[in-house]
Amino acid sequence: MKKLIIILISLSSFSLSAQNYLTAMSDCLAQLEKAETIQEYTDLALAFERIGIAEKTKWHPYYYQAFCLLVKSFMLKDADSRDNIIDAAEGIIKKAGELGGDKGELSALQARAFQARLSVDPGTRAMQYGPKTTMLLAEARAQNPNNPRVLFLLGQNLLFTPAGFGGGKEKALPLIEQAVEKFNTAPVQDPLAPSWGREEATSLLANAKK
Amino acid sequence: MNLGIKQAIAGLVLLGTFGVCCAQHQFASTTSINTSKPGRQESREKAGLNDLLPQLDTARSTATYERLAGSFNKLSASNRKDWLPFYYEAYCHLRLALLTADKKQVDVYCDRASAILSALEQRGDNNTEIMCLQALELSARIRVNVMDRGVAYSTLSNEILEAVIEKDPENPRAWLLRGQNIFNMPDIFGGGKAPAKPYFEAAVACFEKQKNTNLKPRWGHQMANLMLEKCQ
Repeated sequence: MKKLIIILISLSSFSLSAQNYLTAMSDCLAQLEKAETIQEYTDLALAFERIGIAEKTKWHPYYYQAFCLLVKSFMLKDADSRDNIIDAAEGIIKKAGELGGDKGELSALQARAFQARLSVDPGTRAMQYGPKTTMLLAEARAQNPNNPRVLFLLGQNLLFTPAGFGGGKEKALPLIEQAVEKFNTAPVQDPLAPSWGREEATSLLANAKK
Repeated sequence: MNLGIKQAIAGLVLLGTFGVCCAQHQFASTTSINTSKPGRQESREKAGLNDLLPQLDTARSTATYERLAGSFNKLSASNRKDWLPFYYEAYCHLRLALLTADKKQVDVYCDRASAILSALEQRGDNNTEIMCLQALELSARIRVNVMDRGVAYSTLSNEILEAVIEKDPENPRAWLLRGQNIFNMPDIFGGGKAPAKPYFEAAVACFEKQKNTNLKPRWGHQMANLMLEKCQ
């Protein structure tokens, strides 16, 4: 059944009409909301990739392909397979950037990739990827201070950075608060625009305040 | 716990200012001194640099850089007119700032380098090599606090390096450091391997042109080759 859906999607997207693109993406996004297993994320990554290949100039399919791969990377156990899949996701994020993707959104996704990298081996990688994530998100925030995902991830990263090195609760809390506020007030106009992070940010804020 | 950290930071700030005071004090007493036998002192000092520079070329460990910083400091005490021993001492402090595993030491080393560099600048010894070290100092300081310093300090460091490249396009270290800043920038904001590569190519080309540097700065050739390799 799933394979059939994917084939249908790939066929329909070859016709390249704007309406079909929107329908194919919306279908996949609806499935993404319900996805839970490694297999489902694998299938969805493939489906997004096919839309991307058919469309050629759209960045959203690649954004979501990378998103699915990164979620999958957190679910895998073997370190090498995790690194391989993160490699792939990073290449796709780059491609989305070349297609003119939103820099704030792609930074947030790349920050997720760094977090995934770090979590493969925190002992040896935290020193490298912690500051790298901060650098990326600080730059993203300097260019656009309104992206709630950038604010949330930056706050999350600072929560785990010692106070002496620019992190700590005092620095992190205002950022997470801002993120939650923007999640709650920012209007979602584009149906394909990324919208994840609201629940995570809200529960992180509640936990951090305790 | 919090108090402990705050005290530690206060201590570090004090240490940092202490370093600055020492270096400035040293300089205050130096500018007024006129060396009576320049010829002899100069030759003795050159012998010193001739001995130390090959050691600096191969230095890798913090212990070696610490030792060399001390040796250059002694050399500059014997001839305060020459900018080179001061320059090399500052360079050793910056290498230590980049190498140290203890991030709390980064600002301490950078403060020492900064005091020397700004004193050189004040007495008019402001050349493109010194500017390169000032840019390197800013980049090194980012290690301490990426959140508060990352964006601002990398911009400042780049501004200095752009100025050097404009003033002296043959300075290989300016190309190398500018390339490293780009290499370390997130891909999404124009950083990464591909945009950095031309800078390392320019650096390597400039290094190859400048075969005979004598006692003038020559560090960075190997690093430029290595960075270029990383970009392939």
